[in-house]
Amino acid sequence: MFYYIGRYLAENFQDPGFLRLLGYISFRSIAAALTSMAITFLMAKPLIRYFHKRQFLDYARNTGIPSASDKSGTPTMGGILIVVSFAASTLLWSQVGNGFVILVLFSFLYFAGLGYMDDRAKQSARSGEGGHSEKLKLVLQGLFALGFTLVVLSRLAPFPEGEGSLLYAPFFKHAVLSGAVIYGIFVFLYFIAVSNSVNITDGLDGLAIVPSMFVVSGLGIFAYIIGNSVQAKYLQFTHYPGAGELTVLASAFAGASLAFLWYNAYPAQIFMGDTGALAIGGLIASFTVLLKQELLFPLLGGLFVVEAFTSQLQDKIGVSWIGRRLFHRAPLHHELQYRGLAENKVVVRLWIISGVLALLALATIKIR
Amino acid sequence: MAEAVLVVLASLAALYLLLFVIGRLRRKDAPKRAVLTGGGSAGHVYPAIAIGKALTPEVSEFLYLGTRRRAEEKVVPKEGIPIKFIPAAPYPGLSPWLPFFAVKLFLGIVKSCFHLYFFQPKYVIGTGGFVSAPVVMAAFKLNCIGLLKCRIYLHEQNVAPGKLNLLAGRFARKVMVTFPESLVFFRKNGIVTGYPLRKTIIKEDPETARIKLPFPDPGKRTLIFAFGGSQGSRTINRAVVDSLRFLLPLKDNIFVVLSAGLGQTVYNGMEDVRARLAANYSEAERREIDKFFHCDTYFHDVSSIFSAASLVISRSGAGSLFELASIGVPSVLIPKFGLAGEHQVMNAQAMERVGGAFIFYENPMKEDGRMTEGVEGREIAGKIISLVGAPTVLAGMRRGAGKLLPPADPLEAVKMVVMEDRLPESVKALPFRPVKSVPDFIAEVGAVRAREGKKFSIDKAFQQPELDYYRAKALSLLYHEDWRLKNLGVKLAGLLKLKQSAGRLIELAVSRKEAPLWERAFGADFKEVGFVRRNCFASLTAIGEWDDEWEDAAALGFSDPYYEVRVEALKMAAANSRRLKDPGRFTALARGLLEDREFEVVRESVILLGEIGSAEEMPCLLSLSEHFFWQVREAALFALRRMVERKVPCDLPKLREEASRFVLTSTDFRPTFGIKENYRDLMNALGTE
Repeated sequence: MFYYIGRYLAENFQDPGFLRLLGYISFRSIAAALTSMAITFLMAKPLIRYFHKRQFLDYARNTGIPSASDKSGTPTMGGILIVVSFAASTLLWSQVGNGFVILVLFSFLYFAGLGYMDDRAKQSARSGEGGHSEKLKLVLQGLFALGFTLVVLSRLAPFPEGEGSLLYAPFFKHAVLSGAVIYGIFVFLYFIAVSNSVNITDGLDGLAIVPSMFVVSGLGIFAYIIGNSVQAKYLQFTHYPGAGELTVLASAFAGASLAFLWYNAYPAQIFMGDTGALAIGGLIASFTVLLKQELLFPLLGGLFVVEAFTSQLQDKIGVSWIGRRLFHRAPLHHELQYRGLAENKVVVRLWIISGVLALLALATIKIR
Repeated sequence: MAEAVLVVLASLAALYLLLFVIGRLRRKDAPKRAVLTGGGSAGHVYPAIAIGKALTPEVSEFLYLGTRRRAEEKVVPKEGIPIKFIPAAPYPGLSPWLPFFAVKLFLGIVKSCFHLYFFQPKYVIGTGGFVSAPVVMAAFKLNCIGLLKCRIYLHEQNVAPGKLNLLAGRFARKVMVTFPESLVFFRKNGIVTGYPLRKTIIKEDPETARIKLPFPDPGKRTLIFAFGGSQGSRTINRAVVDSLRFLLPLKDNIFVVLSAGLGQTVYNGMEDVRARLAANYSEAERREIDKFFHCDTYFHDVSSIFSAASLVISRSGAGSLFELASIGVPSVLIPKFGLAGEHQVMNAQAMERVGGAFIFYENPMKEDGRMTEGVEGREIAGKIISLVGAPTVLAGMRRGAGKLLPPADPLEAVKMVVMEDRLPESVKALPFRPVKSVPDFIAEVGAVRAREGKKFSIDKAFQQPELDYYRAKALSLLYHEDWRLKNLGVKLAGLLKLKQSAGRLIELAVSRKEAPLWERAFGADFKEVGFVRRNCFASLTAIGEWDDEWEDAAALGFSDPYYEVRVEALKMAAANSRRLKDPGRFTALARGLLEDREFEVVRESVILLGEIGSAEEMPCLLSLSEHFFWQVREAALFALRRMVERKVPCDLPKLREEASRFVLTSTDFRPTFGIKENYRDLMNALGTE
C-alpha cells in the first residue's frame, strides 16, 4: 500500500521529500520487518490468553522420548500470529499487484488455512494423533500444488517469456533442464515435499522457526539479486523483473519469526501448530519455485530435507514395511534427543547447522 | 438459445407429468405390492423372505432386489419370489476403491429407481447387507419427487449395524432391530421386533417333543445337540467328535446328536466326521460311541430337537441365537471370527450377558502339521460334563436365554409395524458394547494403565468376558500371515499375560528364517520381523514364567542382529536374574555385548551385569567411567550400586575411590515444571470425581 502512495506522491509532486524512500526495496524491507514484528508483539499476549481460555491447547503425541518434557497444555495454532503479521506487513509495504507477491501470498494463506483446519480437527478430537486424515490433507495439498504448477507453466506466471519451464541449478549459469511436462511433474512433487517438511521439523520449541527464518532470509537475498538487473547481470543470474519485491516479503517474514521466537523459545508459551508449519512450508516452496532455486533448497534448507527424509524412511520403509526401526527415533531431532541431548541443546545445535547451511547456500551466488 | 432451454424444460416437465400420472394410475388399481431387498450373505436373505411370508396374503405381489452371484441369486427363486438384480458393493472405507464404490452405488440407485417405479410397491423392506442401501435411497428419492408412494422399513439382524444400513436407516420410516443394544444407532426410528425366523419355532413339552425326534429316542438321557448351520461347521464337528473320548464315561447319562451339514463341495461335514471317528477311535471305542452318539447331515425340524435338548452347541449367527432364545435352551456358542464388525462375537456376548450361554472361542490348533482354528474337544467335554451335573445352572440358563426374546412374536411385530403402522410393546434400550478392534483395545489398556499406575491389574480393570475374547484373538493373531497383525497378537499376549502363548512367542522370537532378498536390501533380516521378535521378548518378560526353554531363547536373543531385540532379551534376563540356571553363561554373553555398536545394548548389558555379575565384572564396569554416552555411565553407576547392595565381595574403599572418577557431565536433564506438579497434586487431593 505504501508503495503505491509513494508512487502517487512522486508522480504528482515535485519533491516528495523523505517519502521518496517508499520506492526503495531496501527501505520497505526494513520497515516490513519492523511492522510484522510489532504486530506479532502486540497480538501475542492477548492471543495466548485467548487460546488458554478457549482451550486451544496442544495434546502431546507419544514420541517415545523418555526425557521429553511435559508439553501438553501449551496453546497451539500460534501460526496465526505469523500469518496475520506477515500478511498485514506484506499488504502494507510490498507492491501488492506484483505477480510474485500474489503467488507467494496466496500459497502462504492457502496452506495456513489447511493447517488451521487440521489444528481445529485435532482439538475437537482431543488428541495429538487425530487431525485430518493424512490422505485428505495430502489431496488438498496436491490440488494446490497442481494449480500452482499449472500457473507457473502458463502465461500467468510473472516470469519473462520462455522462462517458465526452465530448471536452474546452483553452480550453473544456464538452465540445466527445460520442458514443460518434466519440469511440471518435478515442481508438483517438490511443492508437496517441501511444504510438508517444515511440519515434520516443527517438533521442538523454536526448532522450525529459526531455520525457516534463515532459509527465507537467504531466499530474500536471492530475490534481491534476481530482481535487480545490474546485480543479476553481474552475478550471472537471469533477471526477473519484479522478483525484488520478494525481498520485502522475506524480511516481513523474518521480523514475524523473530517476534514469534520471543514466545516460542524453550520452554514455549505457544506452538505454531500446523497453521504455522504448513503456511511456512507453502511460503518456502513457492519462494523457491518462483526464484527458480528449487535445486538450491537441499543445501539452503538441508535441515528440513534431512528431517523429512529420516521421518519418511523410518515410517514408510522401516515401521510399516520391513518391521524394524532404521533410526533409533525419527525425525532427526528426536534421534538426537534419544541419544541423550537435552531438547534445548538439540534445538541450538540444529540452528547452528541450518545457519551454516544457509551461509554455504549464499556462497553459491558467486560460484557459478 | 433461450428457446432451446425452454423447449428442454417444457419437455422435461411433460415427461415428469406423464410419469407421475402413469405412476398414480398403476398404484390405484393394483393389489398391495412390496419390494424386498437385502443380501450379500444368506444371513440377510432369510429374514427378508421370512418377512415376505409374514406379509402374505395381505401383500400379494413381491419383487426381490438383490445382487448377482450372491446368496440371494440361488435362495430367492426357490421361494417363488421374482428377483431382479442391481449393482452394489460393500463400503470399502477410505481406500483406492472408494470411487468405484461411489460409481456402483450411484448405478445401483439409478437401476433401483427404474425397478421401483415400474413395480410401484406400497412397501419397501430392506434387511441389510450392502444391497438394501441403494434400494432404500432410491425409494426415498422417488417418494420425495412424487413418482412413488411407499413406506420404507429396514430390519437389522445383528447387534452392530453395517455402515450402509446405518446410513439407510435415516431414510426409513422405522428400523426394526433384533437386539435392544442396537437402538442407540437408530435413536429416532428404531424399534425392537426381534428376528423374523423363517420357520415358526414352537416350544413343546420335552416329553411330547421327544416322541417326534428324527432319531432314536434318547429316553431319560440328557440330550445334547450340536449343529453348525445347514452347511456345517468344521470347528463344531471336529470339537464334538474329539469330545466324545472324554464323554465316554457318561455314556449312560447323555445322548449327543450332531448335525454335520449338507455341504458337499466346500466342506463335506459327514465325510469329515466319519473320517475323524475312524482315525481317532478304535473299533471297540466306536461301538461304545454309537450307543450315545448320532450324526446326520441336517435336521429340518429343529423345534422338537431344541425342545427336547438340554444343551445346544452352535455358531452365533443372529438366526440361530434367536431360535435358541425362542425355545429357551441353554447353549455353548462358538462365534465365527472376522465377520463384518465381529457380529457373531457381539451376538454371542449379548446371549452370554443375559446368562443363556457360555462362549468358547476358536484357538489356533495344529492339525496334521498345519495350523487351523478350532476348539479343543477336551474343553467342550469339560463344559458338558459340568453342566450335565448341575441342573440348577441349566435351569438358570434356560430362563436367561428366554430374556433375549422381545415381548411379541417377531413376525407378528413386523406385520404390525409394516401393515398397520402400529408399534409393538416397546423394549428398553440396552447400552451398546462394541467389540473394540485390537489396536483400540491396546490403546485403552495403555490409557487405563497410565491412569492407575502401579495399582493396575488387567483382570481388575476389564471384565472377564471381554478379556476372553481378546485372549482368543491374541492366540489366533499369533499365527497371522501379516506381521503387523501378528505383532498386535504378540503385544496383546503380553498385556494379557497369556501363559499358553509362551510357546509360540518363543518360537517367533528365535525363528531364523530369512526375509526375502528385496526386503533384506532395505535392512530387513528375518521373516519374523524385528518388531515381532522384540515384542515377543517384551511379552515374555511380562508373562514372567521361566524355564530352560526361556533361558535358551533369551541367550539366543543376545545375538540377534536387530538391536531392539537384543535390548529386550537383556531386559528379560535382568528381570529373571534370580531364576537363571546358568548365570555364568549370561555373564559371559553380557560382557561380550559391552562392545556393542548400539549404546542401548551396552546400557542394558551393564544393568544385567549389575544383577548377575561378580567382583570380576567390576573393573569392566568402572572402565565405562568416560563412556561417550551418559546413559551408559548412568547404567554403570546403577549396576555398581546393585552389586554393592547384593553384597558382592569386593574392596569397598577401592571401589569408592574408582567410582569417584566417573565423568558426571551429562547433555540431558529432566526439566520439572513446578506449576504443573502443583496442579497435579491439587487434582489428586480433589479426587478423581
